[in-house]
Amino acid sequence: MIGISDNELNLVLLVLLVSGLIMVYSARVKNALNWWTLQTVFVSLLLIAEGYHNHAIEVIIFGVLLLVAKAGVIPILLRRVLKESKTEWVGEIYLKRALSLVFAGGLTLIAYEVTEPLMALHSGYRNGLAVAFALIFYGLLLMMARKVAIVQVLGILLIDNGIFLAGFFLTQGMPLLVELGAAFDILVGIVIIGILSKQMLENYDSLNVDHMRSLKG
Amino acid sequence: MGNKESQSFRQLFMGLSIVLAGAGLIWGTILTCRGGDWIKTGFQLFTEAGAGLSLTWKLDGLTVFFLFILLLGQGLSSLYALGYLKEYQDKNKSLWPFLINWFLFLASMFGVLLADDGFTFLLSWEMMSLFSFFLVLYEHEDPQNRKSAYIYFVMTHVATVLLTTAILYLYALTGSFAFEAWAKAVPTLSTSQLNLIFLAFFIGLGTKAGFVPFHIWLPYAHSAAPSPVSALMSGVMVKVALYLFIRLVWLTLGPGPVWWGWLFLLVGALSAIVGILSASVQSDLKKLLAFSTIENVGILGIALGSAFLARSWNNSWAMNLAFVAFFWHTIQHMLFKSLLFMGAGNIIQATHTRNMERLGGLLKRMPKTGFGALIGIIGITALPPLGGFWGEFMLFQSLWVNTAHLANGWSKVFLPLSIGVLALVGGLSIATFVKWFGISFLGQARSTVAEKAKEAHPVQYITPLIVGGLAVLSVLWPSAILALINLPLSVLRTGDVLGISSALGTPLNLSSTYLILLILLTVIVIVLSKRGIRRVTATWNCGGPLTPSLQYTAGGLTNPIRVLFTKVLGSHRHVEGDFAGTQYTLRSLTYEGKLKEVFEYSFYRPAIGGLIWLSSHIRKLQAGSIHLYLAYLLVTVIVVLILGR
Repeated sequence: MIGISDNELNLVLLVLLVSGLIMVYSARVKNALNWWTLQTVFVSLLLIAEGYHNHAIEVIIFGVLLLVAKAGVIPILLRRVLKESKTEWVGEIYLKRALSLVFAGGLTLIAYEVTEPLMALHSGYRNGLAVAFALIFYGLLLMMARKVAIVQVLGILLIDNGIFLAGFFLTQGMPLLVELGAAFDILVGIVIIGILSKQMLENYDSLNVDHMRSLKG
Repeated sequence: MGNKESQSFRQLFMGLSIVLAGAGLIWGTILTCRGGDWIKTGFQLFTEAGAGLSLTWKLDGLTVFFLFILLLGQGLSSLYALGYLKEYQDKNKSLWPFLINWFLFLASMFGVLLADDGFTFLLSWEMMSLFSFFLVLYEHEDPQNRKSAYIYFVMTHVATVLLTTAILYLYALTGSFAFEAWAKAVPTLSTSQLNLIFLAFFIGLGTKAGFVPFHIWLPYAHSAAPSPVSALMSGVMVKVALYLFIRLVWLTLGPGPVWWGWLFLLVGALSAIVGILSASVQSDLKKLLAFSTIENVGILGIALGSAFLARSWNNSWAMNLAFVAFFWHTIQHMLFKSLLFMGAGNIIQATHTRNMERLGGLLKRMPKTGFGALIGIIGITALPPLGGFWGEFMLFQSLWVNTAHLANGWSKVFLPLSIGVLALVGGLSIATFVKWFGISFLGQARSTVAEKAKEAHPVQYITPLIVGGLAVLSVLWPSAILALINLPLSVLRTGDVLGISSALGTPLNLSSTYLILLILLTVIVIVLSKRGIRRVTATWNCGGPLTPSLQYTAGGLTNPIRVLFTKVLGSHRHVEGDFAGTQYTLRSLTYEGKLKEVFEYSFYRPAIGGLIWLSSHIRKLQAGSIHLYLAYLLVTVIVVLILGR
């Protein structure tokens, strides 16, 4: 899969990483959502570019589908939930924004550390895998250190991007069907989460997941 | 189901159970009388696919012996239940749970006895536990019964965990579930492996058998169950656990180190003492009998211990004696304990109380039940004419022969001590059952319920009398029982040990002679006393009126024992006097005595407390915070990735 040049690849990876970091740092949910959309667009672009260089039409098709489904439908759905719940701030808990950025930096280092033996390959792919893992970690960090349910959803989406990238760099092209399934999966997941957050709004009148504590047996 | 319908179902099901038991007994007798090699080597049933692939069953002499006990117990208890269940039917309580679980419980015990591989055994064993649990729970309206059943359920499951572990460990070591394959592979195992497996079996089976300190469920469950179930559990189920000691430890794990025998002996002695001491101070009619079951299991444990020790010391004489004593006592205890539980059942149905402090004077009102119970008491306290005596007598002999053949050393010091324990237990058991019978049947009624008691349904007093008749018959015609005992012995005998006939020789063949002498003696006494002058007058009472409160209470009769063994029984009392002015005039006196289940308090409570403490600390991990759960996730992912590098 020698398609895109190293420079292009590194540029895309930089965008992905930085958008992830900004999501961790952002104070408003809407900003985080926008940055996630940007990130997903770049993931799709990476796929399309790959398909273009390899002349693999199905990869291009899949990239386009990804662009429409993930970068198109999901943000619209989430924005609607945001509007209904009148959520604006991410609701820091345990970690302030600045401190979470420091943690994110640490997690990036860990990501580089743990992926070291996995890729003794091309330097571009090595970076790519590390970034993929870093995104997974950011997602978990975001879910852990924020109160509002929508941010938890964003965390899942971030993890999904990370997993997608990791799969992309490790297997260098999974079967189309698997990729489609994965993308469809997260779409369905978001729809369900949308419904559930509506339930939560009805019950608690807010999207603060701290209310879930009362469900403990 | 309606009352009529219920009656016909009760008669149909219990009748079926009796007929099946009778047919099984007759068929089995014919089959074993014909003899054959299968008694020794075993006869396998439906084992085409082999152990692990299908359930495998085997029938040999050892199984036949216990099947005999099971069938006998089934027949007698079913006959009794036929009458006993009438009360539930009159109360319009559904009989289905009882009838169905009764059959399934019996079937599962057959399964345990016939099982020839670890898996079949575990399956039947679990079914046995489950259905007996349901039967204990039959009178679930009483919260006390629910608690009892729950304790039983928990204990039996803890035991099954150990059994499962041992069986899976053996499977891992040998690659097979078949008992035979285990027995073949045992010589290749190391001593520590064998010891581990033995301990797991010991605790697992010992819990079901009711060995102290795993006995705490037994007094609860046996007293909470309906009386026919108590009879079946005490008489048969406990013996099934002992059967497995022989099947799994003696026959499969082989001789083993000497300390196995000592462990049996020690735990047996402990069970016997603790059982009878606790029994002596109970004032609950059925709990007392349940504790007495623990005592008798302890005696059987001593017999097993003696056999194990004799085996490791190559003393075949003592080993045979110990086994004859074991099997003999197994039969006798089954008969007497069933009989006594039936008697207790009659009293409970007549008075609706289990508290002996409220009974008294029942012999006049329920003479037939009382007569049956009296036979049971003579047997269970090991008084000479009946079979209980002969079993313990042979056990004494076995222990003595074991001791006599030892070289000087510590063993020679400790072994006779168990003879002393047995003697102490015998004495205490007489005190206990004098109390059981005396307080409930003799004297004056201590409450109106006892005063209004009526004799039970004919089936309910005839069945105990049948059992008593069988017990008498077993002593009058011991060679039949000995022929039965010969069946398991022919399986257990390994090669060229001394012939069984020499072990059986003297004491038991003479027993019929002894009995004839005794009957003559009784006849002489009766004839002589008839001729003497009898004066019928009122009981002398220093001139005052004779009231029930002048009698011994159930607590008072065995109070000396309770004071002597305060530490073992955990008893404490509180006397409070209300004086009028000076200490010479007493207005009223209140006495409060309490018993603590020592093992429950000193071992089980702290263990449970520790478990709860640990769980509450572990529970902090589960704070209900989503953030915390996600943090676990993050940490786990990182740790896994780092470890997987």
